[in-house]
Amino acid sequence: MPAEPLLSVSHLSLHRADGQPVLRDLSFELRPGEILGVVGQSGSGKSQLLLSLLGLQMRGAVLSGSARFGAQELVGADESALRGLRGRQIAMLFQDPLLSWNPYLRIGRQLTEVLQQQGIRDSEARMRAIQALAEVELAEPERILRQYPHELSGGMRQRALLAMAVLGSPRLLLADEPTTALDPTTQKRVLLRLRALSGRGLSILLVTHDLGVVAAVADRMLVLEHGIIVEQGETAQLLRSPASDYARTLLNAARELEGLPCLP
Amino acid sequence: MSAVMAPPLLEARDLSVKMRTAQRWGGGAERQLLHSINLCVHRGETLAVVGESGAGKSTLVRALLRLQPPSAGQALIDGHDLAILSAAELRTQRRRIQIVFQDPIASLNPALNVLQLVSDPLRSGAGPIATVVREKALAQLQAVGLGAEYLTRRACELSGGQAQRVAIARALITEPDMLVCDEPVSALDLALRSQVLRLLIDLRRQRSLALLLVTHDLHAARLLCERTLVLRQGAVVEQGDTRQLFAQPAAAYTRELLAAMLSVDAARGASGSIS
Repeated sequence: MPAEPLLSVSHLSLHRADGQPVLRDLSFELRPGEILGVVGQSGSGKSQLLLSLLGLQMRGAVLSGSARFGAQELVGADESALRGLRGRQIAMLFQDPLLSWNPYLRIGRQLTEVLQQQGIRDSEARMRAIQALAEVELAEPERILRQYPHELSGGMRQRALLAMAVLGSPRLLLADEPTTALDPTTQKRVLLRLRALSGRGLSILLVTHDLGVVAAVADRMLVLEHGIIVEQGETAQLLRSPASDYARTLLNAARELEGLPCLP
Repeated sequence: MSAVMAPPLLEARDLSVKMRTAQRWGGGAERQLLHSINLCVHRGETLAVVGESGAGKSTLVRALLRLQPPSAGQALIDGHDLAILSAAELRTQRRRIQIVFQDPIASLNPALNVLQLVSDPLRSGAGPIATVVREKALAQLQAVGLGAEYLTRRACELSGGQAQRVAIARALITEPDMLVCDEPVSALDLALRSQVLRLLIDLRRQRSLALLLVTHDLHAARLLCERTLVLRQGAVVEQGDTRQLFAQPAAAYTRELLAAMLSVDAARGASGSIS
């Protein structure tokens, strides 16, 4: 019997303050330990979807429909309830690793903060932070704890950010283009880590415009165009035989870059 | 190839670059950014320089065109050592090789319209644009698939793909022998990416342009270039025929890069099979 979905989104819509629709009637589910890839071009609403789930939609925008995280309804939830979820139950990973760090605080202080808020003692928090950095294959984790964000390379910062995001053992990870700014070999390391985390039960909503990334790690995928889901399904199946014209066009663009024959 | 003895269009001989990094407390350490690079591109040839960030790809482009003086070795255009050319001669030689940068919006002057942008390399000073120059600009614009209606637009009114086309039209107007493209499509969306790459392939065929493609995208290198050079930490790891290099990489680092390539095709190892 399939597990209960961790996240259940139905008829979710987002309208800007001027009435323009950004997301239109989205319905999908995410199960425990599942990676769902969300693909689409710039402006398709991918990032707005993630922000809306956190209650961080644009000022004045109107969110309607339903997004249930376990027993908690996210749409219309009050700020204190959302605050209790953000970073603890639902973690975020954004594209630009530098913007996500506080430049004034050492990596160690930022990593252990979330654990200390959960009432974990300093020495224990430090040990878990070191372990988390080692798990994303960062060498000399003790040294990194003492460093400031600018002292790390972009790839190291993004890996440390992933370590921080999952340190508080969240159930859901919202990742927005987490590997787009990375070199191929670093990208592969981060993707392997995401797979390992999902193997341990973490659910991941992975937003990207790179179909290769989705092909590599996502169990299922959905395709967004102008805020509408044009297609969703099992990744391998959808990539083999897309049903919608839009998904086929995107896929053929990717296939052309790889020198593969286009799908009919 | 007309004559066997014709010098390469672009050549690096033991090209090295050192740079003094600023230090907070005086002094400053000297870092070697490029180590004795040797490469050459003949007329009509295509070479991809691939490597990860910090490998020295952009430094190499700058040193090849003498936008960055080398600490040792030579950069030559058509057999002329750029170090001993006068400023005027250097300008003439550089004009034969045009660069297209990664971020099209940032590389175009926001105060100029498309006509001014594209015709700029042919003009000296401000003044009105001669009819003949205007016609050339329009012809180049049409060659990259943009019509006359774009002439009056500014860079901020263009999409990323359109702006990169304008940057390419601007590069082509001097009728160069070679284009140097530094990550020409990595800032673009998937669909636009294949459009611009297809454009580069077509232009190369039509004009027998030589191409130096600098990229971290191995798919683009394979698609566009006959030869590939792998750069790591400022040194050449290996270089050779692209097909050969992809099929039988000699260096462990090249194998690592190839293994990190992602594919949308199940047969090439997609769908959760990353390992």
